[in-house]
Parts: sequence; structure tokens; C-alpha cells
Amino acid sequence: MANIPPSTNKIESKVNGQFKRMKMLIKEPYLLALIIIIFLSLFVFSVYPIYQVFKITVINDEGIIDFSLIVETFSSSFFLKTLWNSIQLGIMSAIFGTIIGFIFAYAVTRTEMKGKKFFNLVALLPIISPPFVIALSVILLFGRNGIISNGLFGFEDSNVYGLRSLVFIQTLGFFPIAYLNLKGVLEAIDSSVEDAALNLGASRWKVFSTITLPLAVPGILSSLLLVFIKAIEDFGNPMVIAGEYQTLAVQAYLQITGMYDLRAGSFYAVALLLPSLTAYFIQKYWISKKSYVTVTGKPTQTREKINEKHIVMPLFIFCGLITGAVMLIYGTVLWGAFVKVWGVDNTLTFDNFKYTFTLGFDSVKNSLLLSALSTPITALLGMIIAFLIIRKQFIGKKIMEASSMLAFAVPGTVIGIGYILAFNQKPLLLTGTAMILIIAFTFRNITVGIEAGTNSLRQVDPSIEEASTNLGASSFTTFRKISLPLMKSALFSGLVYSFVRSMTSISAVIFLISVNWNLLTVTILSQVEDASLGAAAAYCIILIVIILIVIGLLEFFVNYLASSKRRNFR
Amino acid sequence: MTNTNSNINTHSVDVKLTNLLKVFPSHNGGDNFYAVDDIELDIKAGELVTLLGPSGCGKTTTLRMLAGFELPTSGSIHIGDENVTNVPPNKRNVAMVFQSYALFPHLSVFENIAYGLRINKVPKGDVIDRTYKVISLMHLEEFKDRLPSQLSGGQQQRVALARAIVTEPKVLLFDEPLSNLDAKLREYMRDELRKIQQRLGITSLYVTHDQTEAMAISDKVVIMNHGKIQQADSPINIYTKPNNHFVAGFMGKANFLHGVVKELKNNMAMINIFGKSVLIRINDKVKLTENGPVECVTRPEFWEFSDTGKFIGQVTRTIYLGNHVEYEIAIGDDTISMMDFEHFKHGIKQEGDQVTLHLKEECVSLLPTRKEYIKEGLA
Ligand SMILES: Nc1ncnc2c1ncn2[C@@H]1O[C@H](COP(=O)(O)OP(=O)(O)O)[C@@H](O)[C@H]1O
Ligand SMILES: [Mg+2]
Repeated sequence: MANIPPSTNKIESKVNGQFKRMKMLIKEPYLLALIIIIFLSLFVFSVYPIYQVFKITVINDEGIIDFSLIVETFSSSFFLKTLWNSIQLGIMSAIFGTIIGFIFAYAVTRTEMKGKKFFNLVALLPIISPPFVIALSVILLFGRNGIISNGLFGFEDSNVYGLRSLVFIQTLGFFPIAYLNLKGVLEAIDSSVEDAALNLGASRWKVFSTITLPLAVPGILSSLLLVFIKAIEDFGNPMVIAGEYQTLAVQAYLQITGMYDLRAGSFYAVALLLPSLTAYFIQKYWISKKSYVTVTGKPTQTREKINEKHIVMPLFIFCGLITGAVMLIYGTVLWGAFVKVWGVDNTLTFDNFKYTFTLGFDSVKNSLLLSALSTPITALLGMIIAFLIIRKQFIGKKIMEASSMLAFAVPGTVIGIGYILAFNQKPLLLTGTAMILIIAFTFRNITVGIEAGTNSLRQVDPSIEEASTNLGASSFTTFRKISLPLMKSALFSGLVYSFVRSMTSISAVIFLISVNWNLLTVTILSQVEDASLGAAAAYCIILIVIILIVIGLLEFFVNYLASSKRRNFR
Repeated sequence: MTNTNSNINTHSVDVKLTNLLKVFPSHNGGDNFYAVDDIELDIKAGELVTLLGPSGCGKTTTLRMLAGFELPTSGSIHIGDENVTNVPPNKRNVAMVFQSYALFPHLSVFENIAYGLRINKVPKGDVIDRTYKVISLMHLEEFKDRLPSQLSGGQQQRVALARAIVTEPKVLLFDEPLSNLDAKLREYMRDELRKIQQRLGITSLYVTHDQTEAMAISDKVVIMNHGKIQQADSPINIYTKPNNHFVAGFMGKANFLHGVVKELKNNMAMINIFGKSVLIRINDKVKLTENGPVECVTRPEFWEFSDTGKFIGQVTRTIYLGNHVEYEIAIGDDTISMMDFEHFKHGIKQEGDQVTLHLKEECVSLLPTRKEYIKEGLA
């Protein structure tokens, strides 16, 4: 029998196990140091700023905890109206966006519809461009000098500002998120389940309503929540087009930059944070657990696609209309960039571009430089954290996972305000520097890299890494030579995502820019506010072109890296 | 095999596992799980020892502790003179061949094999020399530039072995390395593997649940059940002198018959089975008392049809298998299973046929009664 009596060794072996693992970690001091550094930086740059936002709302000028301010603000009718506005906007956009996303996803994954590739591509446009491009375009189309409102129908002063436009814009801007999410879900449903229903005599409609739709419910719920979050935390579109319709994110900004009232701004930020954080964690932990989709790693057999005209045709028309709307939006911006004075003097010209190149190219350079600096850091850090979370045992792993998600789950507005509160004095005096922007980009985007990394690592047999350790490689060498190359595609999407998100972000950085470090998105916004629509459009085009070029370069670069490693040494 | 392996240097060392214990804490507050329960094992330098046992008996866990991927709850592991119990897995110089092969999917065959050398900072020229040497030893020349995904299962298996031996490890570990191959290839690879192991003289621990495989390649077979060693012995002794009921039942087919000891004389016992007396050699692990009960192991091939046999039975089932016929035969209240390899001589008996059987008494082994080995904690 064992030399430990069974009664005592239960706790002992548990403690022992933890202790031994720590001992093993100490044998790899670099790994231990890395874990500590990651913990520290997550704490300083994700947890602490958010804590600051909360703190300022409950501590009064004398430094005493005082809830009366919260109660006062939260019961003012203006505040409640604003809160309701945001939630109403979120709910409507979520419903419309998810419906469109679902129809798109169903048509692409289940039918023989023509032009799928094209629809897919166009649907991605809103994702890689700053969201308020659509708002800008709507003004160009339907505003006072809009080519449709004024040019086509001759309305003198049409009012595009308000809830209806906002819902339209956000639906168009965020349905691709629902589409991508649901496409993944629908693709992952084992096709044999649907075939079985068909085989048992169910009609197409029955298969859809009794099998496909119920199985997609978790995906639909998570899409609703994702779009809801996006819509309520969106800053750019409401700023441009909400008019009298106040939303939380915009109010937070106006209180701080207009009234210099950090505390009032924080109230709005906290009010914004609660629904979005709740939605995020419901989505992440509750709905994803309910998912019927199991990742087996086995390729599912190719699916028999629906070909009946009466099903495919209406779907085709629907997707065509939506795609047409997206193209109209972006086409308008493109056109607007080349027109002298929109709606007044429609001659084509390069003046707008000349203007951006001569007068305001600094913000383009800044955006590009800072995004380029933060992107590799973000992606690499994301892969490293993914590796630690999936493959290593250490105390506080769950905390690392949760805090790395925090800055992503929290609205940009909160992060922006948190950063000004947290980093405006020594020893961490960062406000006004380029550093604070890079850090904000990095910690806001790191989750994307981590998620991509953990997903791809889960598909790598752990014994592949053990084989490397067994042959004498340290954890670091194994990560660099084995795990990282195997996470190639995750690395690529991590790079692309964090670059695009950095280039197009506005809600957090608008609080953090300074005279020396202005950013492209903020410049565009101020051009729109100054009614220099042509220049704004030109900047948008430049931004989109840069993003497309960089995605192309990244793809080339990552493939090149991977293939050069594979080449043999003779 | 050609003999191109002239100078792959290995220095055989012995391996010693002492009081090795691995307890997995339960997650739901129930009892802890003793995956490996106080194991003692010596592997002599250059030997190949097999861990054999049903799935879940702790073979892989034992192997992984030797490799350093699991830390023992208590006990120690010595490789040669060195106590490696707390040495990290990348510093142990034991090479493992994984069940899934675990080839690096993004590296060519050559780079897979060279990996361990590069990691250990072997000079460039030597890396190439030594890698080529192993490539030719394993007949992988024509595949060296391919990716693992472009190889068949058998080829992948060879790459996995090549990758393990190129670093000249002190110990080789195998975790069911052949279980992903089809039957024919498995037999071939099994013999190749044994030949290479013997030629290089690397001390090896081999895990399998396939008894034939274990018999075919091992110097010593270790039978495990429920985390405990049941018997560690040469293949012959394991089969012919099983320690207990489990070992006898796990290795091949066994008919367990209950007898009564009639008389003890010198090292022989007169035992009454089915009302007939048989003379069986006494095994010193078993304590016998006159008129006491005893359990006898009779393998199917210990029985034969013979007109002069003592036992009369009735065939209840006939299974024709080509090179032999398997019968189930009722004798008294019991049923035994027997094999007839001379069916061309005896003809094939039909169900219901009356037969006379002879038992090769010199082959029969005795087991401690169940009570005895439960008392000793061997169950
Ligand atoms: N990490 C672990 N946590 C809990 N139980 C484990 C763990 N690893 C293995 N076990 C259990 O230990 C037992 C022995 O496992 P293993 O050594 O893999 O058996 P096998 O002999 O089939 O290789 C099994 O019952 C298994 O479920
Ligand atoms: Mg196993």
C-alpha cells in the first residue's frame, strides 16, 4: 500500500501538487519572470484604470466615499433619458443587425446562391473601416446637400439627424459581426443532422425551423449581444449624426472635453460599462457554454446545398439589396473624396487629397506609426498569453485570463477616461505621450490575439510540444520553434485585427490624443464637424487604402516567414 | 537492415523506480485517485522492459513520470547513478516515442530528426552527419524533405523513432507506439524496433496493452493493474508461472479450475480436479494444506483429445479458425475452453459430441486462492 495513509493525503497531495508546480516554475526563472511581468502590466494597464473610473464616481472632493453624487446623477431625468436612448439604440440595432446577419450567413452556408464570394467580401468592408464612415456617407446622401434628399427629391432642409438614421447606420455597420459569428455557427452544425431530418421526410422549411434554427439559437443570442455591445459603446456615429438624440458615450465625452468635468463623464462611462460588461460576460460564459457546436477537429463532410429557385432567389435579392446599400455607402464616400464642394459644385478634383497631404498628413503618419508599433507587440503578447493559459500551470491563471479580457470587454470610453485618470501624474505620467496611445491600443486589442491563439493551440496535440521538451528544449525554445509557427494563422489574424482596430478606433483614443499626437480618426471626425465633408471623405479613403495595403503585406510577410522556416538545411 | 549505424554511440545505464506513487486529487471532493500505486522497478542497462496492462492501469502515467512530464507524488526515479526525480523534462536526456508520434507538422522529416541536436547546440556539421546517419539507419532517405503530413503511418513511426534515437538518449520510452498501425505493419515495425533497440543497446521502457507485442519484444514484462505491479518477470515465466489470477487471465486464455489438495509429496501435489487425480508441481508462492482448496490454471492448449484421457466431456461450441479449432467443452458443472491444432487428425467435433480429454499435467500452474491474494493486496 502507499506510504501515505489515505486519510491525510487528500489535502496534502493537492497542496503538494501546487507547491511542486511552483518549484518547477522556479527552475525556469525566465518563465516565472514573464508571468509576473504580464500580471503586473495587466494590472496597471487594464484593471487599475477601470478601478479609477469607479473610484472617482464614489469619492467626493474631500476624498470621502459618498454615494449621494451617484444617486443624484442617476436620478436626473436627463441622465435617465440618455441611458434609455443608448439601450433603445442598442436593442434595435442588435435585432436588425442579427436578422440581416443571419439571413446572410444562411444564404452563404446553405444555398447554391450565386455571387457568394462577392457578398462575403462586401460584408467585410464595414469591419475594416472606421464605423463613422457610414455616418459620413449618410450625410452625403441624405443631408442638407445630400444627392438623394436634395439632388433627387429637392428637399431643402432634410433632417438626417436622430434615432432612425442612427439605427440604420449601426445596423449596416455592425451586421457583419453577426454575419461572421453566425456563419461560423452554421458551418459548424454537423450536416448529417440536417440530412437525417431530410431523410426522415422533413421539408426544407421543416428542416430549417425544427433543426437549423434551434441549433443556431445560442449563436443568434450571442450575435444579439455582440451587436448590442458594439452599438451602445459606439462613439463615432452618434457623435456625427445623433443630433438631439443623446447617448452615453457621446455625453461622457462632452462632459469631459466640453465641461471639463471628469466626474460627470465618469458617471456616464460607468453607466455605459454596466450593460455592456454584463452582456459581454453573458455572451462569453453563459451562451458559449450552451452552444451545441462541438469542435471535433474532424473535417465535416461537404454539405448538399439548397438549390431550389424559390428559396435561393429571395435570398439572393435580399443579400443583393444589403450589399448594394453597403456599396452605395462606400461609393458615395469615394465619390465625395473627389468632388469639389459636395452638392454644390460637383466637378471632379484632387483638391481634397491635396489638402490632406499638405495640411493634415501628420495625423495619418501618427496613426500609421503608432498602430504599426503596437500591432506586433499586441499579437505576440496575445500568443504568449494564449500559450501560458492553455499549456502552463500556475497560480492565478484564471485571473490572468479574466484581466486580459477586461480592457476589451469594457467600452473604449471607459478605458479612455480611466487612462487620463490613472496616468496623469508621476510615476506614471503618460498623458500627452505617444506611449499612452500605444499602450491603449495594445491592451484594448490583446484579447483578439489571445482568443485566436487559444483556439488554434487547442487544436495542436500537446504531445507535439512535449516531444520538443523531451528532446531538450526549454519552454521558450518550444514556444518559439514549435508553438508559434503552428499558430501561424492565429498570429496573422491577431496582427490584422489589432492593426485594423488600432487604425479605426476612436472612442478610447479621443481622450488620449494631444497636440503632438493627433490621430487620423479624430481628424476625420473634426473635419465632419467643421462640415469639410470632402476632406473627411478623402481621409476615409486614405485610411481604408492603408488598411487594405497593410493586410496584404501582413499576409505576404506571415506566409514568407512560415515557408522560409520550413526550407531544408542541407 | 544494413549496418550503416557503425557509430551511433550509446552508453547503457540502468533505471530504478523506487516507491513511486502518483495520486491525482479528486475534483469533486471524492477519494483521491491512485493512478500509480507504490511501484518498484529495476531496468537493467540495455534491457527492454514492457509495461503491460488494461487501459487506465497507470502505464502512461508511469512513463510520463520517467520522462518528467508528471511529478511523482512520492518516491524516486534514478537513471544511472543520478536521482532525476525533480529534474525538469528537458534536462533528462530520455527520449520518448509518442503514441500519436507528435511529429512537428511544420518541419520537414530532416528537420524533425535534427531538432533535438540543434536544440542541444550540437555543431552544425555534426548535426548533418548524425541526422543522415539515423536517416539511413531508418531507411528514410527518399522522404527526408517531406512534411509529416505527406508520409504514411509507418513512415511517420520511423521518423518518430529516428527523432528519438538521434540524440543518443540514456533511456528510450515508448507509449503504445504501434497502436496506430495496421496489423501487418505493426508486426514488422515491432521487430524492427526491437532490432534497433538491441543494436544500440539503449535501456528502454515500452508501454502496450497488447500481450503478443509485449511477449515478442521484451526482456522483461511488467503486468500492471489498478496502478500496481502484479508481476515483473520474463515472458516465459509470466505465461507459464503467473503470480495470480489477474496475470493468468490477462495473458492469453485461461481455464481456472478449483481443486482440492489430496496429498503433498516432495515438490509435487496430488490434486483432485473434476473427481480425477492429477499430479502438479508445487510453486513456492502458494501455500498448500492437505484437503485445502487450490486454484489451477489450465491453458486451452494444455488439453488434448486422447482416447486414454481421464476426463470425459461434451462439446458445447465449436469455432473453426483455420490453423486450429476452438472448443468449449462441458466437464461436470464446469466449462473449459480448449484448442486443437491437429484437427486434420482428429476431425472436427460437433456440438453435442462426447469426447475424452487428456490434461498435460506438467504444464498446469497453481495460484494462491483469492482470499490469500486479496489479503496481500494484490488484487
Ligand atoms: N491528469 C490527470 N488527472 C486525473 N486523472 C488522471 C490524469 N491522468 C491520468 N489519470 C487517470 O489515471 C489513470 C491511469 O491513466 P494512464 O496512466 O493514462 O493509463 P494507461 O495505463 O491506460 O496508460 C486513468 O484512470 C486516468 O483516468
Ligand atoms: Mg496510455
